[in-house]
Order: sequence, then C-alpha cells, then structure tokens
Amino acid sequence: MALLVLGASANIARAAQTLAEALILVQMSGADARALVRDDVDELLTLDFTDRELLESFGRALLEPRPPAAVVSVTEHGVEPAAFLSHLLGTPGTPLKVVERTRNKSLMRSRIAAAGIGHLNPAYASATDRDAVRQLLEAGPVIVKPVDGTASEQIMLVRSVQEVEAVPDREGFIVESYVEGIEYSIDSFSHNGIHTAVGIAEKATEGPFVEISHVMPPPSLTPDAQARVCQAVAELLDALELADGPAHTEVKVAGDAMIVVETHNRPGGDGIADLVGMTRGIDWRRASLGWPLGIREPERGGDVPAAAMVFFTAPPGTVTAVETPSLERSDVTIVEWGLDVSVGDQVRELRSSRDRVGWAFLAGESPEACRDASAELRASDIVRTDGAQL
Amino acid sequence: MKVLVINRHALKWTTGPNGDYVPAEPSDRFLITRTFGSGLAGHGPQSFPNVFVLDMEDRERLEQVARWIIRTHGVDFLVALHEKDMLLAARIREELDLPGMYHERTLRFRDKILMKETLLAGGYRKLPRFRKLAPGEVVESVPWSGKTVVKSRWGVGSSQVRIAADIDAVNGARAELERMGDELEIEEFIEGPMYHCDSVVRDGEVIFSAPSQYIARPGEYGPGRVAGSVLVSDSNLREKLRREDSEVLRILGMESGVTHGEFFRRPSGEFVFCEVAARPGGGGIDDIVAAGYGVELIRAAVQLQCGVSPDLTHGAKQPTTVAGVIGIYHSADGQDRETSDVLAVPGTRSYEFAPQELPGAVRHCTDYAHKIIVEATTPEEFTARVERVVQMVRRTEVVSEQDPAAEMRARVTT
Repeated sequence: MALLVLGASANIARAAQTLAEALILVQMSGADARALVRDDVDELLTLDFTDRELLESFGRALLEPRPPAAVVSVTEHGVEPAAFLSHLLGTPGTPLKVVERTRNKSLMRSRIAAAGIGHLNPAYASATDRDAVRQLLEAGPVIVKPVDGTASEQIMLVRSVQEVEAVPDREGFIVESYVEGIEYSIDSFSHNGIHTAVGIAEKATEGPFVEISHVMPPPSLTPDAQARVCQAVAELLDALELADGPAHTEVKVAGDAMIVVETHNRPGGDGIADLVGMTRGIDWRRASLGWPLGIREPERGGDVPAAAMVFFTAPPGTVTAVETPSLERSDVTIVEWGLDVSVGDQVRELRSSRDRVGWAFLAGESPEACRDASAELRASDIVRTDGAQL
Repeated sequence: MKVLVINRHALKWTTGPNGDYVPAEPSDRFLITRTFGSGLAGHGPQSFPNVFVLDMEDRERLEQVARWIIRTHGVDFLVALHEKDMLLAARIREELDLPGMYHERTLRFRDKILMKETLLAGGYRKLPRFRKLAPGEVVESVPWSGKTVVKSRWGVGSSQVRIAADIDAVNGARAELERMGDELEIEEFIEGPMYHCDSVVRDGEVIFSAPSQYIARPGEYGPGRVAGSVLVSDSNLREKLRREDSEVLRILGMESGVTHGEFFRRPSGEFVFCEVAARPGGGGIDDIVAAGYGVELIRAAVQLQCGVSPDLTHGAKQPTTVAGVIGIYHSADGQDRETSDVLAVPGTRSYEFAPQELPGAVRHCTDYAHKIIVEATTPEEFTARVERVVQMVRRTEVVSEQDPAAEMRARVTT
C-alpha cells in the first residue's frame, strides 16, 4: 500500500521514498512535480488541501476506493489536512482533535489550563477582549499573534490597547504577556504516551521574532534545566493527548519559569531535522513520516558534538554584493550554505522567515562554539544591500 | 475556459512549449500525465500548476482522477490525443455532458471491425475482406489467397498486428495475440505501399488534409529497421487520397478533430482502406505536415477538442517542400548512440534521439531511436539525403540485417 504525503518538499519526498514502495504525493497547486516523483512509481495529485470541503471530496472520491497505508505530513499547513484524511479513511495517525489543539493557540492554552499545568501558560486573552487586554498591558508589553499562525508571520510586540485594536481581523488573534528569556525548541517523539526528546535547540530571533539561528544542544541550558524542559514538554503533550508521533515544541525559559510558546505535531523546520541527524544520528524526517507505518528510527549516535543552523538577513533594499561565508576559527566548520538572493535582487523588510536571505549549517566542537560562530557569521554581512547605507 | 488534458505522449508534443496549445489560462489548465515516455519532461508549474502524475496503465485510477477533476473544478473541455485514451475521454464527456466526440461516434474510430462494418453499411467498398475471430477459434481456411493479417480490434501502434503466410501461421498468431487478451480479426493482406492522410475536421467538414506515403509498412517495425513517411508530391495521387479519406470520415461521422487515416495502394493503383483514428498521427507526422504545409496538427487537435476553430489561413494548399520523417528503431542490443552529426546533411530539419526505455524490444511502430525530419526540393533529392542520413546513423551502430538505404529506395515511390 502507498504512503500518502501531503505538502512534501523535495527533501521530504526523498525521505518518504525510503519508507514505502509507492507514494501518493498530494501537493498544493503549482507543485514542481519533476522534483518530487520517482519515474513510474509515485503518484502526484494537486489540490488546495487546506480547503476542507475539497479535501473531503478528494478523500471520498480518490482515496476511499484505495486507501493508503497512512496519511502523513510534516509541514504546518499539511498536518491538519493529514489528520482529517486519516480520520476519514481510518488510517493510523495523530487524531484530528489533537492536531487542532496544537494548531489553535487558544485551544492549546485552554487545554494547558484545564490540565492543571497553567504555569506553562503566559497570561493571555483574546484580542477582542478589550478589558482583558488592558489588564495584560498593565503588567507590561504583550505579544499579539494569530491563533493559527506559522513562520513567525504577523507576530507583534505591542504596548497599548490602541495598537492591539489596530490589528485587522482581531477575532483570529491571541494576546499573550511578553515573557523575557531564552527560547528553546524541543523536538520529541512519542510512543504510547511516552515522550522522548530527540533534540533541543537554542533559538535566536531578530526583529519581529524571526528565527535567525538554532544551536543544538542548547549552550545556555544545564543538563538539569534540559530535564525540566523535557518534563514540561511531556506534560504539555499529555494535556493535548498527543500520544504518538513527532512534536516540535517551543518553550521560553526565564530562571525557573517555563512558558510554552507553541507546539506542533511535526518535526521542527529550519533545518532542525538536520541538526538532529548531525548530533544524534537520527533520521528525524524519516522517523516523523514513518511512525504510522510502525517504522522506528534507531539512534546511531551523532557525528559531531554540536551543530547549528544560522540564517542571514540584510537590510531592505537592492542586493549590491554577496560573499562566501567563512569562519576564522578551528572549532567550527561550515558544512553547507546557500543564498536565496543574488546581486540585483530586492530584499524585503524582515517580517517573517521568508524574508531571510541565506543560511548555513555549522558543525562544532561545542554548543558554545556553534553559538559564537553563528553570531560571527551573522555579523559578517554575507549579503549587502543599498539599504544598508540609507 | 477550463481544460483537462490527458497526456500519454511527450508533454511538449501534446501541449506545445509552455502549454501554449491549450487555449486556457495556466490556472485553468489541468493536466493528467505520466513520467514514462517523457510525459512529465519539461513540465513547468507556471504552465500547468494543476498537475496529476499517474500510472496511466491503471485505467481505473485514470478515470477516477479525471472524473474528480472535471466535477470538482467545473472543467469545460477534455482533451485526449492518445489512441488509448480516446474512448475513455469520449465516455467521460458523454456522462458529464462536456462538448466533443461521444462514445458511440468515437468507437467507430477505435474498433477496427465496427469501423469497417460502418463503412460497408455506408456504401464504401474499398476494403480488405475481413472477419471477426471468436475467442479460441481455430481458423481452418480463409476466403482469399495470399497472406493473412491477424490483428487486434483495439490495437495501437501496430504492436498487435501479425502477417501470416498460411493457416498454421494464422492460428499461431491468433494464439499469441489472444494470450495478450486481445479480441481479434483477420483480413486479407493487401500488396502494395501504404499511405496515410492526416486531416483536420471541423463540424464534419474536412478543412485540411495532408497525404503521405509510409517508407515502411507500420506493421513491419523491428530492431534496427528504418521507417517513416514522406509527404506525397504527386498532385493526382494527393487528390485521390484526399477524396478517399474524406469519404471515409464522412461515413464514419467524424465531428471535429484531427484524424489519421491509413490506406493501401494495390499495384493496380486502387486504394484500399486500412484503418483510421480520430487523433493525430505520431512519429513525426506533425513535423512533416508543419514543414510542408505550415499547419500545426497537434495545436489544431487540442484547439478543436476545446471547441476552438484552428486558424489554418497560413497553411499551404500544396506542400511547399518534399518533407519526410525518417525513424530508425533501436538496435537489437540497445546500444544506440546519439548521432546529431546528421544535422550537417543538407535539408535535415531536426534530429531527435531517444534512448531505449525498455530493454530488448521495439514497442510500437513509432518507437524510434533516431527521428530525423528531412526536406528536399524533389523526391529524388529527398531519397538521396535520407540515404546519407541513414548511413551516418549506421556508421555508429550495429549493421542491420537489411540494407536500410536499399529498403528506402525500393519503397519511396513518390
């Protein structure tokens, strides 16, 4: 039986192709089919799988007659449709209600509170609840974000009710007290309700909370603190009833306090799966895709003690020069790098992950060395724009 | 206008560069294709953002997906140019009330017995004698002398055609083809060269027609051999063929589309109908028609299936050149090599090399390793140029049992 993968990138398609004889790749319109399918093996179908009515019609007409062995997705927009199809077809996967709790931050906050682990929540309110928002603001700045946002889009740090009320379509936004501290992401795998961390990354952000680096293992967390973070994640996943499969959870740590930022039933993006592979020897993409088929990935041990993914940014404007990233240190090497722009391209203001201009994977002798090298690389102006002189 | 294209050929052949044969905005184009046979080669998401890649041999799946696309997206027109998809497309059109040829009419261009029976019933007599074979039937005699053709009612690309010299051979061929699950017929073998007529029909009227002669009979394909066809230069012969073809299309009730009709020509000069399809001919026929007449058959076929009348005003009434396609099949060992040097031969308009996709066999009559379009001002010059091209290809490959250049000289009689 085929494995159905929703919204695969070329990397994900390649990983999935190691798991099943044939794939059914379901992609959004505009897919580059040639980069995804194996000749004479895989099927590829395009549709807007975020349209529930269309997805149901698709499932009933084309999947029910020949159900796949499982329906999986490791992209943010695909996890809920995948759960919907799994439910429709009766194939194994993360239950739809669980995915909805991870996708909707208001639902997630409610579940956390109801489970008696409210200390993992920041103070929060609906963006339409003026009084509650006012109360939050009395304690300090707040974060306004869409309840179902992705890729750091539309996240705002605001300090007044007026700013909150200026947000269009406030019904879809949640307001949370801004919590100081360092943010970590924990990729975990759950089996029968037992949650195991496969990698913890320390995150750095810039501007409107756009992620600019991930360092694994986290240089700023002691082993004891790492254990407490993992415990918090386990409590969260229990509260959401996520018993099987991958999760990517973001947690802010300030002293002894831990606040869950968000969680997803998929592996982390931004190359985190590669960091897990480099430091733990786990094929995290394959593990995240194959679990409904009963396929488990062994931990083979990492090739390096630490690794990092660093992203380059540049001031908005026209690209005037690009340079090859290089490091003048012996304890970190650049494993791979790439730029998304070239001279003459326009760089937009940094509002989301899509506005980053390049990336590099680093392998290092220690997490601290990777963290420092990430900062050095980011300071070295790999991409220069005329906006820098303005 | 929303259009669904079911493609089984090389994608560029069916839809044109960037899908520009399809008269719809890219977002309104839906494409079902396969990876095999370059069906996905050159696909650009900007030309066909709505792409569906399937195993096209899985008929049930193909039909499921096609129906779902049409119903869900409100597709207005369904385009299919491969023989294997013509009936499926007609049935879906009919059931979903889409314009275009329906099943009963299309069947006459697909079922080689019904085709001839319909012509007979319409008063057309220039047919080989034929009869249907019952499953498992042992043929004891045939009511004609000479060789017998055993072939599938539903064959494609001459792959299910056998020429039998005697009754034992007839029964041997019958058993072989039946094992493939075919329904069969037998018909008398007609001596003489074969011709084809490629026509554009709009609302039952033939608005363009290009007669050509086959260099080798389509059923005679095999490793290392040479095939192809050349536009007919003789104006009398051309007109006779056009008349025959028009009559056949009229009786069969062709509505709108591009057709590919085949005829034998007895030594007496009489034409005898072989078969006709309601889709464009393959193997470079469109290239020689474009070279000789300036008419793009594939674009016209797609347009007509989309309810758009093709603009043929720039097409010539007579061929302006002697244009032909030369196809050289893969050699038996499959060790064929690209020979683009042939482009240096004067009059060589294009050269395409296709590495063998399935080892050890020539799959059908247009499964060429080398496909070369050659032009000349006279038939003699054409023959000389083709000889040279074939020799150049041969210099790089295993020599065929036959001398292809000699075969060509014997066959090209235009």
